[in-house]
Amino acid sequence: MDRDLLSILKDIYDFSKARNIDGFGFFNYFFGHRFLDTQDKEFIFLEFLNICRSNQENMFNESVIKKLNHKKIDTLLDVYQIHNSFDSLIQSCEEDFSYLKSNFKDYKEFYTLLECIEQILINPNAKKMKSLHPFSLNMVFGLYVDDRRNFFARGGELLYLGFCNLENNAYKNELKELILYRYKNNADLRWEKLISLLNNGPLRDVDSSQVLNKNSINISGCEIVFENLAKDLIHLLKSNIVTEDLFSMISNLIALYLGMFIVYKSKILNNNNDKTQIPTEVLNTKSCKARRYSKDVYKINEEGVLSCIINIIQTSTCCDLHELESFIKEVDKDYVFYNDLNNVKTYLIDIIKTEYKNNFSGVLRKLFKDAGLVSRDGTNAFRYLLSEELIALLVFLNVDIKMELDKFLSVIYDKYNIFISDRYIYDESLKSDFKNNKKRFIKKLRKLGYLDEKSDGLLYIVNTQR
Amino acid sequence: MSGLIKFLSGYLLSKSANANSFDDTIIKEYRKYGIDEINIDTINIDEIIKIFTNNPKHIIISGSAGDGKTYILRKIYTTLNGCIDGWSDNGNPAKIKTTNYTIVFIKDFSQEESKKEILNKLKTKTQNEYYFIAANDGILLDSLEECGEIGLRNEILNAIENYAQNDLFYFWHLSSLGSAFKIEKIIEVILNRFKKYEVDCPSLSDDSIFCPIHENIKELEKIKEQVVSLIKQCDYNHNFITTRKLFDLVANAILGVKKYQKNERKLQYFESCEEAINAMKNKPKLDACIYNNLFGENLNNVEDSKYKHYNYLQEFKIGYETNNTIDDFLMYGDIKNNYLYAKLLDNKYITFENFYKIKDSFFNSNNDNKEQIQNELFSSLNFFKKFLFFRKIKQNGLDFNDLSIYHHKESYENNIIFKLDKIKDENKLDIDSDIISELSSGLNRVFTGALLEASGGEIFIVKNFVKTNHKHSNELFIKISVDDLEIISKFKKDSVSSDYVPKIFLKFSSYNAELMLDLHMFEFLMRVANGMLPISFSREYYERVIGFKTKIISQINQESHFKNNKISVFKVDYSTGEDKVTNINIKSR
Repeated sequence: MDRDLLSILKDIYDFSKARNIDGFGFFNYFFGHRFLDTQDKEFIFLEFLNICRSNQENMFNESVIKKLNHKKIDTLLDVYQIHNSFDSLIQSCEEDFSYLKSNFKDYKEFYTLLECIEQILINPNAKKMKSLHPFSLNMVFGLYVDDRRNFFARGGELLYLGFCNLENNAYKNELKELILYRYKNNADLRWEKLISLLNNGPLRDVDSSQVLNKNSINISGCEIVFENLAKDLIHLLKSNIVTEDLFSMISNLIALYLGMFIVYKSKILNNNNDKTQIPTEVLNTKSCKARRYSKDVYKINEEGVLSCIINIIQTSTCCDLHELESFIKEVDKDYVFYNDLNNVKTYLIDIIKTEYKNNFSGVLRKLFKDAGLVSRDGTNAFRYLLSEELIALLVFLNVDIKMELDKFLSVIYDKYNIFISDRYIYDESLKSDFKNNKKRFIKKLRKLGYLDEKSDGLLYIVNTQR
Repeated sequence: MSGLIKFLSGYLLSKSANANSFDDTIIKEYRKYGIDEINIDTINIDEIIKIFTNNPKHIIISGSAGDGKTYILRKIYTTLNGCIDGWSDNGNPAKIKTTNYTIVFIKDFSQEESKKEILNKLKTKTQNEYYFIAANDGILLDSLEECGEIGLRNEILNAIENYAQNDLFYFWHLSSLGSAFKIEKIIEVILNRFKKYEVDCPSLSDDSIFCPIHENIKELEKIKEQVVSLIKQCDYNHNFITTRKLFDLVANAILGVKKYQKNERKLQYFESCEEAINAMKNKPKLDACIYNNLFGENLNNVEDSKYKHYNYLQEFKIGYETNNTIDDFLMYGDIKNNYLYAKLLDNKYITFENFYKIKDSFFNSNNDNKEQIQNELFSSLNFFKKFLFFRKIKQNGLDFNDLSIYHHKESYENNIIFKLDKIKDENKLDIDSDIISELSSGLNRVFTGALLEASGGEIFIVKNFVKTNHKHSNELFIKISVDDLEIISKFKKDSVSSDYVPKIFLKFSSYNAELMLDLHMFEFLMRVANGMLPISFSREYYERVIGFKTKIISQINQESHFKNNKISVFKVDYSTGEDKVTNINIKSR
């Protein structure tokens, strides 16, 4: 049943107000949280871990964010290169770095170390978002949680809330155990000691908190996304992968699932029951229909995000036009009364479009790019093709030792909606191009060493990473 | 004119599809053309019969399509039965009844409708009825899974992978047999048959007549050793070619031709000498040349999976791989070594007169037909390179080994393959320390992503701070002594079977890791050790080595590593090529 526009707007306004957002925040409300297209997958994961750390004892049940103290490693990284001794470094900086002198054998050792640290920066070229790669969960918790919360992407919170909303407690508990196990047992203490050394002091909590409400996101219809993500995360955390690799794999995975969440959610809001499709091409020529088709479907997925909210506004009803307009006036001081519902709706749709343009339009693309669904292998421009990293991840997650190629393709279609072959295409004119696409994918797999070809033509995918 | 050529063309995959039970088709062909049967025995029939009579059990002959499963079953049948009568009985399985038991022959398990029934028989120990089954192992395993016979499935899998014996059946797996000895036999038989049956071709009595088929036969006689060697190298890389495909390979080498119009049909092969002689009157001789046909260059759709064997041979890049000496010799060698030029490159396909003409027009051509002349020159050079390779030319700085991608093939054979026979204890091969040192240097270069000088007796397990499989790595994890690197092989090589699996075996603390050392991997590591960039040779093998490193790192108990207070930074001084490790001790606060 169509809802009353006034009640919708009130809900949206309350939701945004609670998060200190001015005006309406349509996307904020319908997608459960604020998304930014500046969110990097690594930061989403870091923020997720951050919240997990805040709720160590009661992970995925109670939601509180603790803030920790701010570190000054950035300052060090900015200045170390222009100096050649501790003395000159200490003199030139406002902060007191004299403790470094006693902790390192000589400046050269210190310099080598910072050189290493520079290699492991996430976003090394960005000024604000510069951050260190975490070597252990322990380090993540200590280092990155600070009061500059815009430093992080909000996707991490959404992810956490998604898990909180999971009905299956077994998944929640297992995930919690595994995260804590890695945190306690797999910590690379050397780096931790080092960072605390550079920061001149141990890591400590700062005592302010913010409470997250489990009900602030509505994941109904998208439970499967978080359930599958939980399963995949459990699989990864259980494996014997080295922490470094784990970090990049999980952040890819998270970007993929969050992208899927947005597509699923917009489909639900649009009352669209079709199966989501994420076609990918494998280095095809411009004239190839598979290439064009994948581009079109991505466009449909992206546009669905905007059209679903516009649809809700357009199909909504209104009991009292005056009350509605008065409410809008309260929010927007510059609002001029129209006395016509259609004009009010047009006004609101304009706001939605601006909001979309300013904040949300690039989110899905960014997430898919981060996940590796969009990559620039073999060309300069980004194209809708699977990156090698993502292929490696999908093989690792879904292939135990070996699996028939066709089975693998159907697994990744069912689970991630990614399709490569002609099997899931019902348009005859596209079939042959997708057949070729599959052939190219096979070539790619061979190149990456994941293919075992039997002499009778049977193709197996082999998990070489185990 | 005999029917041998027509009969041989029946083997061509470009002519007939790869039908089920090809053996039945081929028996008919033998009868039709009155040719003696060509027998390529991959396993000893008498031995099978002997083993069976001593202790009767079911027999499974497994392998891929075209391995000759039905052929072997038919041979057993005719040996036991005394004649072929009763073998083809309108789809009913052939049976042999003796006083003690009945033997049922299942010619082609994949075509069988009552799979479940047969599988039921197979898992029971009987006294009076035995099944001899020819089955594709994939289909057999899938059927077992479908029927829920997991126990039997595991037994068979164990037999395939570990050659394990069991109480229920004997098992022969044809797919793991090497292809080299088969092609040797095939070539020998076909050449003999040509000598016997094909004696009335006009080209044999008149030199001015060019019959491509007989020309190819003459060439094959000269180059058979190299052809066998190429197939052997495929075996080294575990690219086994089935008997059926080997027949196709040889038949196409002799009969193949590039797009030939016959009665409004486009064919890729000749069916008689007469037809071939007429057709070649207005076609360049290279179009039906054995050196091109061997690589399937006459075929339109060689990418097709049924032509996989040509792809294996194309991977040798013969005709493309070259070096400066060879290029100089081919383009300008006639200035300095005119005599040598005429001696080494003399052939029936390209005359020097023609070649000089192409060369001249290439250097003096205008822009209109430049592309065509370029192509002509290219295909001539391509042909000459193949010619030099197959004729095994090794003089005046020219070495045929440089004409295929496997420059280190001889070293691989001498140091690894020939030593498989001498394996003594613990499957360990006795390898020269020079080879071990080069291999470890190759490993080190891939592991670190740096052009290290030859290793000083250590293998560096180095990872990147962010990822273990990053191209450049600079955090030293552990060092493993080269003494802990061994080359092992699970099976010993015998004359027929190719069950050698040489592997690099690395021991570290209480763990170990293995890396398959096939010919391609050997070449890869050797080339990298000699200065080639890893990815430019083979991305696939680069990934394998990197995967090997990741495996080592994830096996080591990292906890203890993390708990010490040391970070070791690995760096290479590019002016000297020497590696340097800086240890940083972190003081606890």
